[in-house]
Amino acid sequence: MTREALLEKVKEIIKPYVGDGEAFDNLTEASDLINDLKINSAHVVDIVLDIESEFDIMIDDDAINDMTTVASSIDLIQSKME
Amino acid sequence: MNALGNDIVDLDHVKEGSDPFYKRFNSHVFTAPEFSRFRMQIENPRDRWALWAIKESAYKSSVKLGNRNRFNPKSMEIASLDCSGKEMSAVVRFGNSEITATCAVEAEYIYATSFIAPNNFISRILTNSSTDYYTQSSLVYTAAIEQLSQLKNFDISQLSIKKDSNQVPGFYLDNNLLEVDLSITHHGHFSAYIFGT
Repeated sequence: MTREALLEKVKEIIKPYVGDGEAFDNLTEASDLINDLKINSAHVVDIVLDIESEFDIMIDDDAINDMTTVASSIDLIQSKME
Repeated sequence: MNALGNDIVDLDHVKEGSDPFYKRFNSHVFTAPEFSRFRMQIENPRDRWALWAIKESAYKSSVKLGNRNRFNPKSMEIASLDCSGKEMSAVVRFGNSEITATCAVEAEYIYATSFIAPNNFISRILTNSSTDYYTQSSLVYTAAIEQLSQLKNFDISQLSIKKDSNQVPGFYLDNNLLEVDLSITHHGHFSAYIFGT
């Protein structure tokens, strides 16, 4: 799967949890999940679970700390799919 | 600094998942010792969210104590839990720190507060018609500012709330940070603030 396709999938996954619709409309890979997109940290685990289901991967708990931005989330998915 | 934290969960806004979903959810949120000690609560939907709120609130306290990691629920461990009173009370361990938390489980929401010592504080829950992030922030900021203004006789027009680089909110009077411990939370149709008095 290309990085562009992964970005679209990640956008689909995080959309229901985004608190700032305008930031979502202007989303880039650099967007911070909590600080920019205003995703409640309660939903970070939801996103982890949705990513695991969508890509049939398992995400380590320690890796959750690294899922700070859209880019780092895509990097994590790519590393698990390799 | 009492390292106040709080967290609210709107029970209408939590994900309805299947048993396998929550099995995976629980595995990301609770440690092996927590499973061993609190399995009954973890497997009960309301109590599960209460334990979650306790951890999230304790995380906010931990940030004030120097924790610079993102919220990873398993980095905070509930060491003890007392469900015998009207509110749950818990001790949460983070590194070498112990944070005390209390949690009210109501019909529509769950609300946890956490602190190092049970000093005086004011805590208030607000119901919002909007779930928009900025609308909720504005409402809860305004309510907290109004209450602090009344309590301390501050000029309300000079009071504001800003977050620092660690996303910790603080009261400012004429752009000077006040030594008032503050925590803010919102989820779904509820928001809440807590500040030290």
